[in-house]
Amino acid sequence: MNPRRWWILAAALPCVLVLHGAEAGRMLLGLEGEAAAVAAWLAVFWPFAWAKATWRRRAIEWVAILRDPLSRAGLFTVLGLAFVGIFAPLLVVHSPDLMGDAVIDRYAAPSVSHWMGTDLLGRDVFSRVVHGARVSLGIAVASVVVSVGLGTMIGALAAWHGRWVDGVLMRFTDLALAFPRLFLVLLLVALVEPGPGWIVVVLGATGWMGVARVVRGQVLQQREVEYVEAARALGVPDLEVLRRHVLPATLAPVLALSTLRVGNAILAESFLSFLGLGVQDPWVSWGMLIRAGRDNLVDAWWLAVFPGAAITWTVLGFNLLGDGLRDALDPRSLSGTGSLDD
Amino acid sequence: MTVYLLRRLFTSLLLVWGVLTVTFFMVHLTPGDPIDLLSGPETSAEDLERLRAAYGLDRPVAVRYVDWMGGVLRGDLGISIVSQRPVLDVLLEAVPRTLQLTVSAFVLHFAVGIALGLWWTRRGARWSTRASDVGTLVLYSLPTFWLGLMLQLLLSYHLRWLPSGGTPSVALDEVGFLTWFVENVRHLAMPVFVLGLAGTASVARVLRNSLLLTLQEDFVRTARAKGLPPRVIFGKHALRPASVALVSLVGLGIPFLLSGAVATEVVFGWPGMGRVTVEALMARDTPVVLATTAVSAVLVVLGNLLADLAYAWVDPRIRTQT
Repeated sequence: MNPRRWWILAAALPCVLVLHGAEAGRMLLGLEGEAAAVAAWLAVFWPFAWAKATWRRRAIEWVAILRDPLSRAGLFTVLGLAFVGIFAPLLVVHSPDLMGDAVIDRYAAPSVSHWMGTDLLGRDVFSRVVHGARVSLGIAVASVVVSVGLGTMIGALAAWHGRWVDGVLMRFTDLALAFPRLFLVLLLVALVEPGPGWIVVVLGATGWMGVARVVRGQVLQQREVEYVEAARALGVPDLEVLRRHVLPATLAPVLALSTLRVGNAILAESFLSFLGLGVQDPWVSWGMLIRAGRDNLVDAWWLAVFPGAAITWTVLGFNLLGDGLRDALDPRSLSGTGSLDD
Repeated sequence: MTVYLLRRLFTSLLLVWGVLTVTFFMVHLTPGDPIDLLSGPETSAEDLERLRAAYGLDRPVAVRYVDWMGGVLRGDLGISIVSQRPVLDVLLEAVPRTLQLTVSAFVLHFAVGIALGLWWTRRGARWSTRASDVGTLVLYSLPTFWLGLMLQLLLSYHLRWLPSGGTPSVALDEVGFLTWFVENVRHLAMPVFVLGLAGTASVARVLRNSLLLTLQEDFVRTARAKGLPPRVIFGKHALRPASVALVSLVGLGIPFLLSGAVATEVVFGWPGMGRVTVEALMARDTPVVLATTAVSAVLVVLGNLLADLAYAWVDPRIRTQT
């Protein structure tokens, strides 16, 4: 480990200790208090500290690709939201679960002390929206990770093996695409049990088809490339060839696609939670907040307006970034269908 | 063309069958059944058994599957466990409502989207391109259900222009046609707007992008060199190839509209398929859930089929491939 990495960790540790009760750690590992905060922090920053120099350089290139100011706005929105999600407890004055006085604090309009007002139980809406970012973003990102994993596996396997495997897998993809996704998601979520983990699985398992098609196309192209042929001729095992020579080439389009998909997943999760089929009470998500706001839309408009604005802004950030990535990677692909492609 | 058509029809049927089968097993193999919700804590075990037997839930899954598939082929979708009505009746009430909503939104968003796309292309200015790009992205990013709530708050509550939801309560034979029509439009205005908004943006955007690409082609340059007036180049040479991209949106647009219709119907209390589905899911009304999923699957597959046929119609190269 070089000294520079030690330095990064040393700087990180005090911050870690300040982070009380990071729910991200609790959510992922079932840890409590400082341990949870440390885990959350390490999960986010260790990859950076450990990353090879080439990977770091590549990351910088990725940012540089986004010459377009709108795409950069999207990138900064996304980074800002990640920051908000991780540091939520430090950013808010009130705890999201702290109930106020049953009479005075109930349905208080936005003011200096409560930027977004309070709800039925006198809880601060601003802190709830900030904490909602964790759950909404966490679920969306995790579900896209699941679907990218699935899609990459299926697409790569189909293209690499070809012949009947390709036929079977692609017919399977067609079948999955023939499902009206929302109906399927509603069905699976309603029939089993609502909860963050299951929503991640369901959204992930119903969103891999686009990725599979993109990966398949890329792998089919890569298979014919000379260095891949050379590697195979040298007797490098198939998996190794896939991992080292073929899949890296699919990274760029998949990244653009999955960024767009995160926005989509946020919308899907928020709708599920809005119906009451998604995230349940001890958790806070934006869709849930809107659901609560619907009961008193007229007198307490702030309950529904702010979480909805948060969703729109977040999804817009991901869409701008994804669009920018796609244009940067392939300037000719002007045919943006955006969130339509599910 | 006939071979192509038949092959596409056959795969479509297979797809519908696949979706129905997967859905059936998903519903029947997950724990819990509607009887749990029908019965109270004091229902005796024998009564539970009797209820299960009455709905045929005590038989093996495979038997139920064959039975249900047979029913579907005969047009018998079973009986709703909650409302005790034939599922077909429930669907026959809900589907036209959803079609009313989605078809209006569909027609409207294609009409407005095409007009908008043409206008954007003709303008051609850099800033308007950027503005329209951002504008469409904003529209994609709006959660449908939230947009509906906001419109209700603004247009129904504060301005009192439109009813906040539900269906028109006047019958055609009681009031004049005009009143009836206006009532319908007033009730449909907000849901259709909310439902069609994102679609309008995508139609406009896709049309503009593919027109811009087509206008760079050699045959357009040739047409220009021949001295044809811009309107002919635009309308005759560029529009047809450019509309191929639009056709794919027809197919994609149907699942999109159906999903959107669920949110719209829930928010605006529109008694269509989406609302029926959500209510049936909450009540675990299995026959209804299966039926609505089936109908939406048929619509999605049909949409894709139509899109493929339209492709073949617009682009002769696809026809000759088969």
